[in-house]
Amino acid sequence: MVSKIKEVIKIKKKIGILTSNFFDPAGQRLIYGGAERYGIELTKLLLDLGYEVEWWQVGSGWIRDLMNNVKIKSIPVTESPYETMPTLNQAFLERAVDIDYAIYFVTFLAYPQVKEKSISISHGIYWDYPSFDNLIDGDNGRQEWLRRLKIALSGPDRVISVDTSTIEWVRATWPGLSHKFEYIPNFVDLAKFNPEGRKPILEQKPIRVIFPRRITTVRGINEVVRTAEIMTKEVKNLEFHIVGRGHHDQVEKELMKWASEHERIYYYWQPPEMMPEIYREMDIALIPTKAAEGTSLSCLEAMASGCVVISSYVGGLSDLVFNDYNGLLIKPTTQNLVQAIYSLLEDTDRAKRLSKNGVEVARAFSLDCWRESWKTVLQEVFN
Amino acid sequence: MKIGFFVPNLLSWSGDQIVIGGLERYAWALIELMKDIGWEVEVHQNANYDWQQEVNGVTILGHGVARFSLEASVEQVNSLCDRVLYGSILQKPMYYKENSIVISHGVWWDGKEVSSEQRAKIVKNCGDALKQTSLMISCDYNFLNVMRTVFPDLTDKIRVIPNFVDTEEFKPAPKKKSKQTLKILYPRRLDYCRGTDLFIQLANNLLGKENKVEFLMAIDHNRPQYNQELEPFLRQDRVKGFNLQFEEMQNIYRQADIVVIPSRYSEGTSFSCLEAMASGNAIIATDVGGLTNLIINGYNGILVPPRVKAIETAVNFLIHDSQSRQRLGKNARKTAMAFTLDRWRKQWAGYLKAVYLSGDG
Amino acid sequence: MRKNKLVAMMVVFNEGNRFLTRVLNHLSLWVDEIVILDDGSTDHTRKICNQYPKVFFVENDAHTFIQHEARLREKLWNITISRNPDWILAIDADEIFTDRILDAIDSYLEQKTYDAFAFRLFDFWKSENYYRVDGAWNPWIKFSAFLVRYHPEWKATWPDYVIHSGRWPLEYRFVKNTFQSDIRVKHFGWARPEDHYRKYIFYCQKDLEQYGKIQPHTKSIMASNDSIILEKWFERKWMVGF
Repeated sequence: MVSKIKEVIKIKKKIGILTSNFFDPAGQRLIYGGAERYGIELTKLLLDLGYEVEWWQVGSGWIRDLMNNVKIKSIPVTESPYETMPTLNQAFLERAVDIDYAIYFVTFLAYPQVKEKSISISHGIYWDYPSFDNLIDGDNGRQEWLRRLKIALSGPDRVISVDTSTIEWVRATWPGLSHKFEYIPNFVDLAKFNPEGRKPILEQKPIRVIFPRRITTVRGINEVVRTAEIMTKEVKNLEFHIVGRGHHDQVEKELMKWASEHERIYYYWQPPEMMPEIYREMDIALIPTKAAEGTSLSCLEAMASGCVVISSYVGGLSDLVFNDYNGLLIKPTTQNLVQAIYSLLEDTDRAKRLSKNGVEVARAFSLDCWRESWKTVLQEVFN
Repeated sequence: MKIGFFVPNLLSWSGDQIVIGGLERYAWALIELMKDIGWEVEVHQNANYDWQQEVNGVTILGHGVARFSLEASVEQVNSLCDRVLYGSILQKPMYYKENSIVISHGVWWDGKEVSSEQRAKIVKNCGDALKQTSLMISCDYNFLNVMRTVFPDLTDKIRVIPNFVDTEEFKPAPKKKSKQTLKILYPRRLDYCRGTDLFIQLANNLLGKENKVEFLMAIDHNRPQYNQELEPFLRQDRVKGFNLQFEEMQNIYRQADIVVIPSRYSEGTSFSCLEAMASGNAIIATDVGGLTNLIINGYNGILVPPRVKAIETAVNFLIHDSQSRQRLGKNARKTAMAFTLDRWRKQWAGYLKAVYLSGDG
Repeated sequence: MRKNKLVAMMVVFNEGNRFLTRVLNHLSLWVDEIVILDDGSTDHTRKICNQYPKVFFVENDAHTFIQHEARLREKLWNITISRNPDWILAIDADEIFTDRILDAIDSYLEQKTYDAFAFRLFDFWKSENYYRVDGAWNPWIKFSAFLVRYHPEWKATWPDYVIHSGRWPLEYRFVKNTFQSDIRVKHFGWARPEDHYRKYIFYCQKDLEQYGKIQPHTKSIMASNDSIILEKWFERKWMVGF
């Protein structure tokens, strides 16, 4: 009898994680953005805590290895009415029968029904730009979309939010739901991203400005392009580095061509493991996001590496940067970007102070802190 | 340049008392700034009857029509003044003058007692204010973030100027003597939205477990029945209540080791939090409203959700970790230097001039 | 200094008067070894190859590519893996990477996230200044895997294709952790107009053997000038040693 109980205890608890796209739906290519890195770190933590992990996502039914002992299985789904995926949600519940707990990797995947013990993750407000209306059929669909989102947020035992603006939004919209929320900001791996051996801020020519984001309008690429054109013309020894993939081939082509026609403007991208080295060669990092932002990994990485961050105040960015303390918080316009860069160039001491404070502040967002916070929540919910 | 400044309650409605509160301190600082720019400021407010007062060299007009309708006193200001600065977003659908600035003090409808109908109306009012004015100055970024989800096309008009603290007045104690007891301070008015009850629960939970802690409450006497209810709690050993003037606050911060700002909702970039920061206190604040624009969890304080258990865990951690208290307090003081009055005045002066010295008026 | 060994593999046939010298000059700058399988050349290809210390040269007695491409590729693969590579580069004798590879290659080989690197291939058309962008020629819309991490534990099987058998064993195609690089690769196979007709005839014949009909892409080789869209090559800036 005793030995039997022991056996029962020994069995690892299994966590199923439901996401939309870890791989592209054909299962051929690993999408490696911020959300995927989050997923990988979370998986590592769960494995370290002794859980078994299994991922589910959209796909034709293929099964792949995500990492050692971690499978990712796919469920065929084509529709996402009102920005939710009820078919995926239901199929997950029916098919992932052997899991003990569930993590909904994106909040809306928890609609309409959740596993009894579950957690969901909010990666930030993603409905704060005018054309979001088109995705939900404007005012007609807004009520239905909100109804579904509310249900999705109500189901899980806990919603982990990467920023406080999402929590504040929930509080201002459905105050009764806010008790579900727990703020765990994104992380930065300080072992990789740190100022050691970096180029001293604004001392060595050329001065380098980096835009380390996906090339999309919501991330502020158009403003950056204009800023780069203006500033490289006006300031000698100033370089602009636009570092990131476009969402379309055409964008990458145009940007490559554009960069080739402008002196001291560079466009490229690198595997994530190269980024620490790149940040060490940069003086200023631009994060002029216009919408749909959480606590950006790029912002944290640039800050941890000692770059002076010029950021917009959208979404979670105001959780990371205090204006004129560890960076500059601006409204993301070309004029403001130009002014902000000039203000740094004209006051090196200030720039150095911002850089130094940024490095200090980034320590509060270490991967270790993030793992500790998650661990606490997991113990509370999955026990 | 003459400007009409609408502040609903700068003085009491009878006009004989100066009201003490965050909104009012904000208004006085702004009056001071506009005077320094060389503008003539005329304050308009709600009143029981029509009166006029001179306070600190500023004319204050009380509009008695407020007895009948709050809208009416705003209409008075609009008709009496060419240029108007609105000290807060009006609670009713109202006309704002063109080429004007309206001030937002943060999200205030995020409490459970606000019905969803009311909430929808408030949000609509905010949108109307945005549409009609040239600029909305918000004291925190989360107000802006919430607005962006509803009016993504209008939020360009919002600018954020976080609140300020006088870092000369509020300073860390010269050196913290190693004391026998730790003092835990609640420096807010008595109000459910400020989490008064959370602090009391916290104290009740800890008084039995920790014998080397003391709980201080620096609270208001605006609503005497609240103070009466609190009497039994305050009579306990190791609990003290204070009713302090603003000038006396710096001392209580200096005595405190840990400051708790347990707001539930309706919070901006709290003056109390900023003062505690400038005083170098180890702060535990909730992740509500603008507090997250002041505190970075684990850097210059601890951010927790507004729940007793979470606050208690954080307080426990700080009680037993003097090194963390010191580190967080030191960084809090350092961070406070980014929220100086001087900076606030510069930012405000820029927007005031941009809006009121140009355009039709 | 990098720890991982990069071995390039290449099939050659009568490349003496084509691009081989330029290709080997450039490859010698950034790969550790170049395995060359000469498919029965009758010109001075061998002589050129032997001038490069990094080249590991193997010769076929007769020209076998025209008989069965997959078998030739398999032979090349087997020689290559016998050289103990950590990474393998599959490249043709008329393909040259742009210079940025010189700076990027070490980090590509040492990183742990990705098992393959894919690149955009630019088909230069009747010159070395313009590349073709119409239809399937468009270099911007697709990436080809040139660089793959060798996994001794994986199987390596080859399809029974006489042509277009692919450069990689089936198991090495569609590696899931593939990084799509921004570094461009120049392909000069179509840069000389005098080659076009001969190559066209060759591919037509092979299409018929393989598919029973001529493929649209093959047909587009001889497309009229007004349906061909060219784009001018532009150089990108790069800072050496950055």
